[in-house]
Amino acid sequence: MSAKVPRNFRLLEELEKGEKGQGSGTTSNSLVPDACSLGLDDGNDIMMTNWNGTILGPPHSVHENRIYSVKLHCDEQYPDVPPTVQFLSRINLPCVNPDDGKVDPTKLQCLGNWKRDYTMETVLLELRRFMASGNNKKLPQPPEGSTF
Amino acid sequence: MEFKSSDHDLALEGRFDCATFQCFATICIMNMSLRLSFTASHSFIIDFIEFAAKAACSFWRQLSRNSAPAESSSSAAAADESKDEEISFTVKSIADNKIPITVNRFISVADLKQKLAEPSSIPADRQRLIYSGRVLKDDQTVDSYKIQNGHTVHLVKGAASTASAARGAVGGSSASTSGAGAAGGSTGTGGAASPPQQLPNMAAGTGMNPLSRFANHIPLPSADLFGPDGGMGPPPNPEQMLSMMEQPEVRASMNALLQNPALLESLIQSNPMLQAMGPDARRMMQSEEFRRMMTDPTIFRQMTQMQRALGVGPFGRGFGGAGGASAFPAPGVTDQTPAEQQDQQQQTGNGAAGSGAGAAGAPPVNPFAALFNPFGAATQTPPAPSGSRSPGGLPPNPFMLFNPAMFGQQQPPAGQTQTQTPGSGGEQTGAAPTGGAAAGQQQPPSPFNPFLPPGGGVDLNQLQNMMQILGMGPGGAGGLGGFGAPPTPADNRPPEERYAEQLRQLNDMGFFDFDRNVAALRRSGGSVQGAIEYLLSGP
Repeated sequence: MSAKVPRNFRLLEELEKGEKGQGSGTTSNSLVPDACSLGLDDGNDIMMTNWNGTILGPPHSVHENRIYSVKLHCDEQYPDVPPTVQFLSRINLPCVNPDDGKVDPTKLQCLGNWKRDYTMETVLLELRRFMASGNNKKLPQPPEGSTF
Repeated sequence: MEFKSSDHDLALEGRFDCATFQCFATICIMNMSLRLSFTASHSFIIDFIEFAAKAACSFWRQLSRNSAPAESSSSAAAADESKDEEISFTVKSIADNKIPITVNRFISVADLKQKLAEPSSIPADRQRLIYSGRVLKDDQTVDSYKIQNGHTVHLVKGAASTASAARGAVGGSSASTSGAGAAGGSTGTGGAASPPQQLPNMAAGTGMNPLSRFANHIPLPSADLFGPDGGMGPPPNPEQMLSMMEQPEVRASMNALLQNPALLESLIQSNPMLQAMGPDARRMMQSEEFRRMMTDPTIFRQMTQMQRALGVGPFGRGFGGAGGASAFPAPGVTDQTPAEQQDQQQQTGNGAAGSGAGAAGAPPVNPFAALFNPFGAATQTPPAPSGSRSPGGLPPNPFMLFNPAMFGQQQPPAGQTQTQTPGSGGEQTGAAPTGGAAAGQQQPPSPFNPFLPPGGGVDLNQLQNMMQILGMGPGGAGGLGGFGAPPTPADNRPPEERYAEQLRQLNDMGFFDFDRNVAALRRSGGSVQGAIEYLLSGP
């Protein structure tokens, strides 16, 4: 039986990873060091609820060279429940609501089947993979820099 | 000071009150372990303490570093006030290039980019700096982003702010996808001459691509070689393919590719069908013949001829992304006239071609829909009351390996070759060439590998002869039509069952509308590629 990591320990760990640039792919794919970035929206928010993330568009896709900003919201129950994810940069992706940029948890595997040891980085990397998969990498995209 | 024992608060206090952090940590851990020892198991406590201690240590380290000058005053507030003018942090650029930099914390981001232009060799206007999930804006100061000593800022090369931005913005729209076919060949051959420039890009692969891991180890051709989007677009025409195959670089890299056991392993691992084949897949792919086949332009030429002779556009729709499987006859299409065949070679060799040609001459409106229905076919129950079929005759298509992106084009000919290759013996004639996704449904026969000695004993030369025979032209195919096969009976199962595999694939690709998917699959006769085209272009 292993310890159940409490919410704030988890978030602090994720924060440290994000600020020091240790994460963002190092665990899942060492060749993608800078695929994603993560940090607190407000450094003084002691509850560490709102986060910013960026996803670098995967290469060989329409997203290449683009940087997508997302907002992540970790509520009280995180990491027992997944964070809510919302794109700030406009993107045309099947799992993203075209009106407000919210990611539909039922359409992204890691949110739909959330596990406790998933992190926000998992989500960002999964989104990035999703962008690079199949047809998503060819979908016409709104002009770079536009926001929801 | 109120004592809080919940782990929640421990963490919170730890972050924001470094003066009291240590005593909190100690007390809390002790307290917790005392409490827990009554209620929880021993190992749990150990785990938890270890974790808590680790977390406490790492945050303590972080905090003490952040507030180093103020440590003596033991006050977090003081740390904020006594900010250093200079901060040092690391800028992590592409290819793990780390640039340590010390700047005044009140300079603007634009100035920081100027400073970085030289060490990173990225012009300032193409630099994108990311810290903590935020893109740094040029007109803000470094300080406004609260970058701390020792932290890491990511540097990415973006499109230039003006001109070349068009590539990212417009390039991905329908213009480039529709132009993919025409452009594919030419970029392909051009790309082969200059793979080195592409390699850094590949190293930063998407994580999806099983090959990207090997980008540094072997001279992989660039993905651009296979067309603008890695070969997912319509395949180039055979002439372009041929000229590509004739380039020594391409052949060399194919060879290197197939010789690398680790790469093969990763390809096999990444493909469920190959996994299902078990050790056979590996043995087959490592065999000399397979390698030669994949790298020999003459074989390729013959296969092209043959495909023409069979009346199929050599790289027609059916052979598109959805794969080599589509080049296989349906399992129901069994060679019913073994008596007409003289020896096993011929029998097996013609078996596939016969079924192809036979179905082509058959009355149904669109015989190819059935014939080239890759997955539907595989999930259909074999209808033929044929004694000559082996029971478990649905070997997975080993050439699906070359289906994803990188090898999109190589695989149709390979698939065709497979069709020409006998399985493990005469009784398997009809069944051996059928490829399909139903590896899980039926156990693939183990002596599947056509290149292994028990696999029917056709060597490469015989294979080539066979192809030449078949490549004689329409007359040849017409003659084979005599071997005709019974038409596949209508499949009355509900669509979600019949197209289960295709629907799953479409879902994976992000098409979630069940009704539309089914409609599209119906129209395309079960071809995923066709369905996608319909879905993308359709109403």
